[in-house]
Amino acid sequence: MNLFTHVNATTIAEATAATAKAGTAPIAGGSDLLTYLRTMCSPNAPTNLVNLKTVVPSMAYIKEEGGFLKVGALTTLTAIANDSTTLAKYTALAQAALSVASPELRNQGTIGGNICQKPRCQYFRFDNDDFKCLRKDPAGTCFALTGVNTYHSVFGPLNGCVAALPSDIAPVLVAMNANIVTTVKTWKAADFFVVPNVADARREQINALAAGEIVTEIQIPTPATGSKSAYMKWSFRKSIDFPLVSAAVLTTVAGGSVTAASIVLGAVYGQPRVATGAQTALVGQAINATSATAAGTAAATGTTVLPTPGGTNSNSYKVQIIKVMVQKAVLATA
Amino acid sequence: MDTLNVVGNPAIHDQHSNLILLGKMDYACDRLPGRKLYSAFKSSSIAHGAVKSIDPAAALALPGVKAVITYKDCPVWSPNIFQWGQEVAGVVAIDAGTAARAALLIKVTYDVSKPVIDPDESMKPGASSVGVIQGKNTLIANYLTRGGGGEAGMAKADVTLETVQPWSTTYQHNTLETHSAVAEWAGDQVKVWCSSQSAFNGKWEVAAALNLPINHVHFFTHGTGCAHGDKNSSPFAVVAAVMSKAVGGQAVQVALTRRDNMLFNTRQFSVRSAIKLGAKKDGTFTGIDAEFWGDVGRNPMAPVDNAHFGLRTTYTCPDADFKVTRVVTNTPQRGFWRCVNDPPGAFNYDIAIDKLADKLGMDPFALRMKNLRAPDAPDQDPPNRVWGGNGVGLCFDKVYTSSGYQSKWHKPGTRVLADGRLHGIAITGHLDSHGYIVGSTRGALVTITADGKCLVNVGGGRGSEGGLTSCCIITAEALGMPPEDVVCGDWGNTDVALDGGMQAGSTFTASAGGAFYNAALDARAKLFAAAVNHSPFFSLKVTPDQLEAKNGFVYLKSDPSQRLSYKQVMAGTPPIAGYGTGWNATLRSRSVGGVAQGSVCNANGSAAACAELAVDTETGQVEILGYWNAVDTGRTIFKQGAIKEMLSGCELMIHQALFAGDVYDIPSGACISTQFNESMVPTAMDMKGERFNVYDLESDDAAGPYGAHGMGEPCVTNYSAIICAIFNATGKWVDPEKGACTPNKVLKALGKA
Ligand SMILES: Cc1cc2nc3c(=O)[nH]c(=O)nc-3n(C[C@H](O)[C@H](O)[C@H](O)COP(=O)(O)OP(=O)(O)OC[C@H]3O[C@@H](n4cnc5c(N)ncnc54)[C@H](O)[C@@H]3O)c2cc1C
Repeated sequence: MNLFTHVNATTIAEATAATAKAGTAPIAGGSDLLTYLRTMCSPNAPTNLVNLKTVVPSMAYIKEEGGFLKVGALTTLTAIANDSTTLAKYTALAQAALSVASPELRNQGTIGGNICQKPRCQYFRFDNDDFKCLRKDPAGTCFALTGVNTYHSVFGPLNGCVAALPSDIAPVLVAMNANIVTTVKTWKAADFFVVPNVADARREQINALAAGEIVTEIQIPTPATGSKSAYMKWSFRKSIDFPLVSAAVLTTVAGGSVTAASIVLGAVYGQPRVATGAQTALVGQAINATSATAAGTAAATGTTVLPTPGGTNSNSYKVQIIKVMVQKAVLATA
Repeated sequence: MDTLNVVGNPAIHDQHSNLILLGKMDYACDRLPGRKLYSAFKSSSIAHGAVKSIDPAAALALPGVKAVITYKDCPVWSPNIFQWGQEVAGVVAIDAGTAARAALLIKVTYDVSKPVIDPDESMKPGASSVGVIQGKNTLIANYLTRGGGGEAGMAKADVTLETVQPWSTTYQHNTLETHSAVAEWAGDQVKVWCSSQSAFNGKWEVAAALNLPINHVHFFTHGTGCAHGDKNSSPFAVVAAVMSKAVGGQAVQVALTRRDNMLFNTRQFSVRSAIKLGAKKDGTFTGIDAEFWGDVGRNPMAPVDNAHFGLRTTYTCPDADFKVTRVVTNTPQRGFWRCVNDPPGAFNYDIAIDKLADKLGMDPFALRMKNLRAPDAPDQDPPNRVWGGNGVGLCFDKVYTSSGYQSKWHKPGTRVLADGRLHGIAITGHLDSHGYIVGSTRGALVTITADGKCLVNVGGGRGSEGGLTSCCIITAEALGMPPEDVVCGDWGNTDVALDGGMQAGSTFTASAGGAFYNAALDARAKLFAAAVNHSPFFSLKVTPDQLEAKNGFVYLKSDPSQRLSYKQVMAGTPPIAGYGTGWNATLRSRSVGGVAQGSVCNANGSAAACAELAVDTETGQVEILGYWNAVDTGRTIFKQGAIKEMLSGCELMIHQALFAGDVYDIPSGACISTQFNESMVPTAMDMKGERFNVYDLESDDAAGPYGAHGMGEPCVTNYSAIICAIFNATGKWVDPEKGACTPNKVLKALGKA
């Protein structure tokens, strides 16, 4: 375990001031951060943790207000999955929350922590920093590019890294055009999830947060009348696994055909991947097996399967799974 | 055997389940809280080469660090590196975190040699040397010719099948408690608490490594936190003792991290094979030519030898060749692991049998039954012994009837379920190389105490559910005591127990159990000798041979109303100690197949499994619809334990077939699937327990105590049923690519990835 200090912040101002100091990070549920620290996988690990769970007023809430579903950053995934309003009107978010890990981790893990988790790649996460990967060290290499990459990107590298987005929540936020409110500004979800350049100090992040910037709230616009959303996740096991392919879909139907479609893939690229071809294919169509299949096929175009040593354990399966997940998610919005 | 009162009684619980459930079982790391130091390892960053220098200065300078040891101090370490992540040094510190951080500060330089990670590369002529065998990378483990050999058999065949089966899965099962030890010295004596499943093995390992008299090593093993053979050897006990010595004898704890546990412990083999089968048109085998290779990692002595065992023994075939070769690689050591070489061996030969059935246009189950040996038939190979109890036919029959196979089997790729998925079903099974009876080296001690109860001190670890309870059951039966009066005293304590041997090879119940049977008879004889000094027996001038015991009473055979309870006999009698040793497998209870009682025989377990599943051809996902696991126990001693073993066997077979597989980074040779979630243990949602059906069947082994032989390993061994059922569903064979048949590989077989 890396050595660290731990302080309980009582106000968001206190937390902001504390996290602005070098080597400091906020801790929410700790389900990602503590495993990262325990394995001592990174030379950039924070040495001071600032506890957000003690902040008053609490950042754990779900409410509908001003045309948005507002979810406090400290809200647990269990609370989101169980919330009846979320399930009824922001279905994809509830489904994504329910699909994360296991009940214990959902009770512990928060939505803020979920969209700020570190990359998932065996090389990045390997104990004791034995692989100097470029998400940790600008002079490092992407070992997965030619090594073990079964779980990795099928749309090529992002800033040299082929790790796939691990968050189940992120694609939903992009698909639903969410705002991510921080102590500094309000981000559009589409701009928030990035893979920073290796030269950037934020290179370990899956988002563009500045040092000391804390997520306080997620705002999801209430979908227009006739809209439905769905989230489909696929992994080898039916529980506990991170997504290997996921699809978040929001469709609006009027007069029997789709007037707007938002289709975003997760776990197939370093950031949520908007499947523009699939969206175009679906708009103007009725939602049925044919249109859903066409959307799936369109979503799976432009892929680049990674090379593997000896040709084994390739990630080519993801292309097929993208088709199926998009098809299923589209049909689920019918 | 309807006279048995305790053996097989379904109401008997495991004696330690409560301790585990209530968190009261003591594990090695629970020992000496508050007065022990902690440790961490520095491991190699190369897969092959030699340590040139080690500079511990920065580690030693870290506050809280007490000592650094290297391979120079530790007899179980070496400067020669044969795998990535091999231990080269260790740190002792005031807490585990300090030790771990200090270990990162140790600077090591190496002379680097070329590693060989891929077993196919290793086998190639002119391959670089792995370094563990002089001048080569392969070792023939065994070679056996029967009749005129495989080629002669092929010449008599109407149909031949030749198949090369690629490497099966290799994986470490990642125990809940990692391997651990706590050691402390008092003068020239060392006490070690360890998670070992083999207490006396550990004691000898420490004594031999440190050149100590055996009675200077006090070795204890209580909770093991699960062991599948990978806690048979206890090198970490030696390391803990060395570390403790380095800090003046103060207690030191070695507790492997998940990463270290994955890198250092033994694991399941990968097996590759080239199998040729010849048969008449009706399916009668005429010839087998089977060659197996086992990737043993850096352990050239790994016991891969019996990969062919089930194919060799289960079916009749007059002409055959069997060959097994060990292939070394610069990867973690393969070795003892649950059922060792039978599951991957069977995985390979069961695929070959199913391929032959397909070629013959036969139901593969019918092909197996056509060639199944009669239970009383002797082994076809020297020394041609009969089996004390061969129940493989019972197992096949049971899974066949209970699964409804007859009405469910269809030609490959021909049944579509209502939801569009493909339906598949298959049965595999074999006589297993495990479950044998290890002779007289097993010792037992039972003590009848003043309250008329019996203490059973087992000299073995608690490696599994049931081994210790089984010893108590056998003792209770032989002593004629109610089961609740026979309790496990201290176990795994090498100071107060005799050597019960390892809990592995499925040898424990029948071997240590045999010793307890004899120890109980010895105690019983002493009890009868004491009883005749008490009235009414004294006044009736009864001699010990006129007595019998049942349900906690000693009674007169001729008049059972004349009786004394054990407690009455023991009043005024000093505690009675009974000693016994086990026996080698001989036909003790009866003759078999015309072979006389008393002859040396084989005693093995056997099992069969049926998998029924659905394959989603769009996603490659496999859902187990039903799993039937039938195991020949010989005699079920501990019913609840046997059922739990078989249920866990279902879980493990599904794990092996569909999820488990180590992943290696080829350039570095690092096993990079070291974290717990990468072990891919199936979750409750991946295997629905209510779909498991388990059956303990009793062949009444003429060699074992009360007819028992081992079953803990045969019950995990038929994961081939799953790949064969996937074939039955899809008509395609999945290449496991040294791992499990995960959906990506199923899709690849279907041409969709
Ligand atoms: C076994 C396992 C399985 C998992 N499976 C999944 C899965 O299937 N899908 C998935 O999406 N995730 C998965 N996770 C990842 C993750 O732990 C959870 O998704 C969880 O939501 C993280 O939330 P947390 O509150 O515990 O975050 P923490 O661990 O507390 O924090 C994670 C990171 O976010 C930062 N952070 C936390 N809160 C804020 C904030 N408000 N503002 C700015 N930064 C913040 C922290 O500094 C840290 O870097 C899994 C984790 C484990 C250990």
